[in-house]
Amino acid sequence: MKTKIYLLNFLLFLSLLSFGQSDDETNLDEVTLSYNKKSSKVSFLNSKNITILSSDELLKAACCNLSESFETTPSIDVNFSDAISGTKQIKMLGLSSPNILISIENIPSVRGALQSHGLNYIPGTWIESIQITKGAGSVVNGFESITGQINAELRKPINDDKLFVNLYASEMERYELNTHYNTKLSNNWDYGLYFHANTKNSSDDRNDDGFRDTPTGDQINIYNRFQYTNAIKGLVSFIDFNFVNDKRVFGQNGYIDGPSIFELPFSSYWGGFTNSTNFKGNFKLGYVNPNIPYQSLGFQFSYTNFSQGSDFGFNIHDVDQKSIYANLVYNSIIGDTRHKIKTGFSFSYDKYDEFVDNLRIQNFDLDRKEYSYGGYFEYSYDDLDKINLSAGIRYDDHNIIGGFLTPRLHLNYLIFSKTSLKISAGKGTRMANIFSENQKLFYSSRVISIVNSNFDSGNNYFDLKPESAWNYGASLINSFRLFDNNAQLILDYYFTDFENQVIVDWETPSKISFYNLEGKSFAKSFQAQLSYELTSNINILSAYKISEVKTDYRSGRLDKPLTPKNRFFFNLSYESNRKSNGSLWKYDFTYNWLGKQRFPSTVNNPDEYRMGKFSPEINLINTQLTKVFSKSFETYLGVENLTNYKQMNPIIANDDPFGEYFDSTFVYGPIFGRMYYLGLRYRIN
Amino acid sequence: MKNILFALIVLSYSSIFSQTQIETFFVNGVCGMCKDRIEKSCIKVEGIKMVNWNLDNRQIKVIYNKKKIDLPQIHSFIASIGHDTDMITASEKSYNSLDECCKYRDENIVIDHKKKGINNN
Repeated sequence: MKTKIYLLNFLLFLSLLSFGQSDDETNLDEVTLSYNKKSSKVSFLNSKNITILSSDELLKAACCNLSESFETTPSIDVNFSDAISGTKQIKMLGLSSPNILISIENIPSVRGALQSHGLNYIPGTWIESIQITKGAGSVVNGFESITGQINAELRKPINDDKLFVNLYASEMERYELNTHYNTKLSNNWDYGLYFHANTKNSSDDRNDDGFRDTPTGDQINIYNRFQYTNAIKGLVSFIDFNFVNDKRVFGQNGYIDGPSIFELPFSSYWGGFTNSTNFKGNFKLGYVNPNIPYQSLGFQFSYTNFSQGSDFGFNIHDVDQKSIYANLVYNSIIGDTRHKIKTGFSFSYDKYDEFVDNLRIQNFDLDRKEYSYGGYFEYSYDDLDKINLSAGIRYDDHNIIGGFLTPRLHLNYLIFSKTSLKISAGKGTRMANIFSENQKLFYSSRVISIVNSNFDSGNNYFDLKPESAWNYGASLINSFRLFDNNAQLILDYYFTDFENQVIVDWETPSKISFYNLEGKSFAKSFQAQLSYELTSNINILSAYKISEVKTDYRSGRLDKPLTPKNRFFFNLSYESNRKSNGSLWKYDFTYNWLGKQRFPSTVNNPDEYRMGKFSPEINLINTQLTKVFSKSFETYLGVENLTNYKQMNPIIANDDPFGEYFDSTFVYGPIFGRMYYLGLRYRIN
Repeated sequence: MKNILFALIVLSYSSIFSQTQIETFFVNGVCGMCKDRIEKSCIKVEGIKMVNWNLDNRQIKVIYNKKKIDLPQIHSFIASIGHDTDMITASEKSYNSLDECCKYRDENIVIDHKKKGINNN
């Protein structure tokens, strides 16, 4: 029986691997060895620089959704996008999330119009593990990744708990419910129903700026999974349906939801709402030849129908997106298993129906279609001793970009038995979605200016060119013993160099300009990370990051605004020994120091609406205590921002929100201050 | 470039229909180092596509191209690196070249490995 389960899991895993970036024999070891103590680790032998976060790592902070899953991961920076929406943005190597390919089980997912809120639609408890690839990454999942790839694996009905319930409540009066229900339908079929709901009704204004610190609203999120597993035939399949409905209301304290600001009588308060619905259907089929395990075939198909309507004061942004994605991937070898290949075809189609009304001054109607089809080939070589390399290339034909190549190379060289050097180089190309990616602009009175655009050619997306960049990186990983305990030092350096980029220029107050890059735009990122097992119960992870992100704006070469050049990160996690009744304590402490961040220029504003050149440095502490009572029950209590740091004046011209200087996008730190939360988890295996 | 790439992709898929022979047989050994030696040596042999040696039941699974190599040749290769198979016994000379911890013919070493529960090293 045990062997059978192992075989099932093995096959299942293989088939999942066949879909993309998480592939390698090294990973295979990491996943099957589920008793590995470290919940976050960088794979040592893999040619790619991949950090794997297990579900244990995700429990270190009571992360509500995918955007909050990276609080204990120094490679990813998490910050608020503006002072009103409560939306968190992530960055990798100094560049924001549109430059990262974010996939769910290797299907590119948080993209297009979903860039603005999509990370909030993946609840934390649904996530089984996350793989973060720094640098170019595999060509299997497409051409869009520029700085890296993030892949989240969700819970699988076959091995997830029969029943799981999580309740969460925070001081902000945010309540969450997560439930998982998994059942066996027949020998080969398993079914999982995952449900998430959150609601927040109070409207605190702790910094007394007249605006709610975070929006009120609620979300319902339902995921249906059918899993087919047939170990004898070597087949695994998933059929998934996901539905999300999310409503947010934000703005001044006096603003109440509706009547719409556009209807008479006009609301005298600035405010607005975002209503989103997303329907997604996935089909995946994986076949592993039961006799010849190195041969496998995988097929993925995904349909997404996303619709979002938003009012922000006198701004409107409505967008509908319908997407289809298909990918066929074949894994095999050349000669013997030291030479592996991964090859296939993919197709992607996005139809956008987008409307923007900018302060009743101008409006944009952007109905457009983007589609591409392509083929790829990835070769990997493992000399079973020192060298591990992966070289991939893909060719895609895109209706706007045209035909183009995407080459990517990764090499891992084991210098000594405990020291390895990884290098990578690769290209990424993508179409920008200027309004969804910069939705925070609507929380201001900025007038949109699309420089040099010939709007009649709306089909060409304002003549804004597709973005493309090369990314080069090197990473040195050294594992060693320090005072008889395990330690690991990682030194990373990555360089992203844009050939084309849609420049988002915030440098003129009351205006936001979009134009094509003329000159240089690059991001350099250095990270030194030391992890140390202080005792068998205490792990320490600390990191120092230096990023330099510069762009040639029309006004000259400037650092990217609101991006700290320096960051220090420290995490301590403690886990007591498990008692015979299964109980234990867990404690987690995270400290972040962010260096000063450049503000976009405000020199043309009247005196009272000017910001300095730089934000102050900030110190943030998050901490969480978990008491596990038994295998089936645990509770946790945590506090975010323990030192109660608050950005006091995050909104420029908060006293005149309909005036031309109103701007809530100058956010460099938390607005809400200290926040306590608590929760419980209950499971039946 | 584009056409070469697409030809390469189509060509790769044709390997689905390639002819392979799969055999499973007994190979004596005692530890993770044996596993490493058996697998890493075999995979470098022309014609062998995949090797997996199971430490628990000491069975080896070999996938090979029978046009390039045959089963007796595989057995004699494994014996030549010091490991007995169910067809061929390794010569004293090649057996003696094994590391001390891999001397599977020595009762004490076998018992020692079992006691320590060392499976991997």
